[in-house]
Amino acid sequence: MRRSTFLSAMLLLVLLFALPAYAELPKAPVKIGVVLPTSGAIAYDGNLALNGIKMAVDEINKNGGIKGNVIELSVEDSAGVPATAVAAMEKLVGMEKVVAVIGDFGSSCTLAMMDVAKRAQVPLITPVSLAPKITESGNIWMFRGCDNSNMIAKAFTKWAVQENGADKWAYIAINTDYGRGSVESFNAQLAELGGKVVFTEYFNQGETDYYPIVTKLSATDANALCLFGETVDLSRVIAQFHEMGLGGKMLIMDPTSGTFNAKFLELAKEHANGIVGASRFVATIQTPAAQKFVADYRGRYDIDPEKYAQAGYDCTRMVSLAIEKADSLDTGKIRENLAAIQYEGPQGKAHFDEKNQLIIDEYIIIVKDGKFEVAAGPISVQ
Amino acid sequence: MTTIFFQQILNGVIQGCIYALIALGLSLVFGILEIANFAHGEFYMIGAFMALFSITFLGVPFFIAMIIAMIGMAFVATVIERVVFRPIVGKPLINSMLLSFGLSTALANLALYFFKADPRKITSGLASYRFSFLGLYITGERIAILVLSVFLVLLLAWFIQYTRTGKAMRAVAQDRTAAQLAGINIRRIYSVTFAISGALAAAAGTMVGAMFFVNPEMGFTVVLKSFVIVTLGGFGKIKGVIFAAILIGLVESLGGGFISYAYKDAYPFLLLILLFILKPEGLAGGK
Repeated sequence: MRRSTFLSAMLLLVLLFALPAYAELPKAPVKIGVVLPTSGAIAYDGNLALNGIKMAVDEINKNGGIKGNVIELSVEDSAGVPATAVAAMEKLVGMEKVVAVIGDFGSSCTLAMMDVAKRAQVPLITPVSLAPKITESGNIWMFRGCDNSNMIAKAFTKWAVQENGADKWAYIAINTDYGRGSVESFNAQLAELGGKVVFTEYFNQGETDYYPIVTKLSATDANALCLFGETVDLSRVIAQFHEMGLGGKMLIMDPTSGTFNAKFLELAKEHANGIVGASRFVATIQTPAAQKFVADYRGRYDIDPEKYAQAGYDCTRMVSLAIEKADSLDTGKIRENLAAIQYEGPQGKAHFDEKNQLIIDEYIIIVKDGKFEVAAGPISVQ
Repeated sequence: MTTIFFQQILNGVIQGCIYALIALGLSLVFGILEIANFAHGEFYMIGAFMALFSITFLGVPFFIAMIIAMIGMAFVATVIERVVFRPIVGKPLINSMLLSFGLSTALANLALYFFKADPRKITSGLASYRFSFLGLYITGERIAILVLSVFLVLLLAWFIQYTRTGKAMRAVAQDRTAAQLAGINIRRIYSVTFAISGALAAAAGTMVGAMFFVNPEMGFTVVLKSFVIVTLGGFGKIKGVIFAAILIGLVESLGGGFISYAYKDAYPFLLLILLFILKPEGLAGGK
C-alpha cells in the first residue's frame, strides 16, 4: 500500500513535469542555431547578416524574451564551404539541440544543409540564399526568409518598362550560371511586358578591357543597359561605357544590386550616379519602422544596415514569433507556426507562401550623389 | 557600321601597344639569356604597384610615377636576374621555365599578402578628357598611352640599333661565345637586358593600372598572352613582336566586337594554332 501510494505520487510528479513540456514553454533559455560564413571570402557579408541576428536577439531578450525565456544563440562558422556548413548544422541539431536554425549565406551551403534539417525535423531559414531550388524541392522544413531572383525580376522589369519606358534592353552579363540564368529569367519577364532585347554579351570574370563590347553597344538603339556581375568587373564596364561617350544615352540598370555597395561607389565615383536596381531593403526607406531599425542599428554598429542585416534581423524575429505562437519547443509546432506567420518588420509586411518562400515587397533603388535612395516602391510582386 | 569598325580598330591598336611593351621585354630576355621568364607578368604587376604607391604616398603626378616605377622595377629585375636567373643561364630551357614559374607564384602571393586582393586604380587625371573625331571616341589617357608606348618602343629600337650596349646585346644574342671572345662583358649585358625588360613591364603596368585596375593577380593572363605574341613574332625579334602584339590587339578587339566577346581570350590562341599549321617558322620567318 505504501509502495503503491509512493508510486502514484511519483507518477503524478512525473506527469506534472512532463505534461507542461509539450503544453507550454518550459522556463529555460530557448536555443536558436546560426550557420553563417564568419571567416573566408564572404566573411564580411556573413557578418552583416549576423549583426542583424544579434541585434534582434538582444532586443527580444531585453523585452522579456519569448514569454519570459531568453534566447540563446549558438553561432557556427561555415566559411562558405558546403561540407563545413553541413557539419555545423549536424552539431547544432545533434549536440546543441537547437529548436531552429538560421542560415546559410551561399545557396550551395543552404542546399547541403536542407537534408539535415529534414532528417532532424528542425526548421531551417535562410536569410540570404537566392537559388530557386531551395524552395522548389518540397522540403517543408526549409524556409527562405528573403526575396528570390524571380520576385526581383518581376518587380524590376514592371517598373522599368511601364514607368520608365525602357523597352529596348541591352545585357552585359558575367559568363556564369548566375549571369546567364539572370538574363534568361529577365528575358521572360521582359517579353511578357512587350519589351525586346537588342543586345546580349557575356564577359569572363576578371576581364579588364570592355571596349569591344561598349563599342558594339554604341551602334544599337538600346534605351536601357542591364548589368549582371560583381562590383569590380561592373565598375570597369561603367567607366568604359562613359569613356565611349554613351553616358546619358540609356538607363543603366543593376537589378540584382550586385554593385550597390561602398566599394563600387569608390571605384566608379560619379559614374555610379543614376544606376537603378531593385532591393528589398535600403537604409533610406522612409517608413517609421525602417527608420527606427536604421537608427538602432547605426547606434549599435556605427554603419547603415543593408539587406543582409535586415534579413538576419527579420528571420530572427520571425523565428522568435513562431516559437512564441507555438508556445512550445516542439519543432513541428514551431515549423507550422512559422509557415503560417503574419509578420511586420522594418522592411514591411511578410508571410510565407505554400512553398515557404517569403512574400515581401520590393523597392526600386537609385544611386544619387553617391547615396542609395528609393526611386519607387514598395512594389508588390504577388 | 564603318565608325564602329574603325573604333574597334583604334581600341585594338591601343591594346596592342601595351601588349608590345610587355612582350618586348619577354622577347629580349629570351633572345639574349635564353630564359623563358614566366615571372614577367609579376614584373608588370609590381611595376604597377610602384606607380600606385608613388602617386598615393609621394603625391607625384602620373608621368613621374611611371618613371619612378620604371627605374624601381629595372633595379628589382636586375637583382632578380643576379640572384635567381644568373646560375641557370645556359642550362636547358625547362630549368628557367620551372624556376620562373615558381618565382611568379611566389611574387604574386607575396603581393597578395602585402598589398591585399583589393583592386585599386591609378589616377592619371587624364580619363576625364574625352575627344571625339569623325565619330570615334578616345580619352586623354588612351592618347597618352598610345604616344608613350610608341615613344618607348622607338627608344628601345634606337638603343639596340645604335648604342654600344645595344650592339653588344645583339652580338650576345647572335653568339654568346663569340661575343665573349670579342671582349663583351656578357654579365653586364644580362643585367642591362633584365633592367630594360623590367622597366618596359613597369611602364605597361602603370598604363594598364590607369586604364583598368591594379591587383596582385593582374600578371597571370598577361604573361600567357605575351608568350603567344612572342611565339608569333619570333623570339628576340623586335619588329616581329611589335607586329604580333598589334595583331593580337586587333584580333581580340574585332573578334570580341563582331563575333562574341565571351570567347575573346580564345582568339589569340586560335591564331597561334592556325599559324603553327600554316607557317610553322613564325610570322617573321626562320632564324
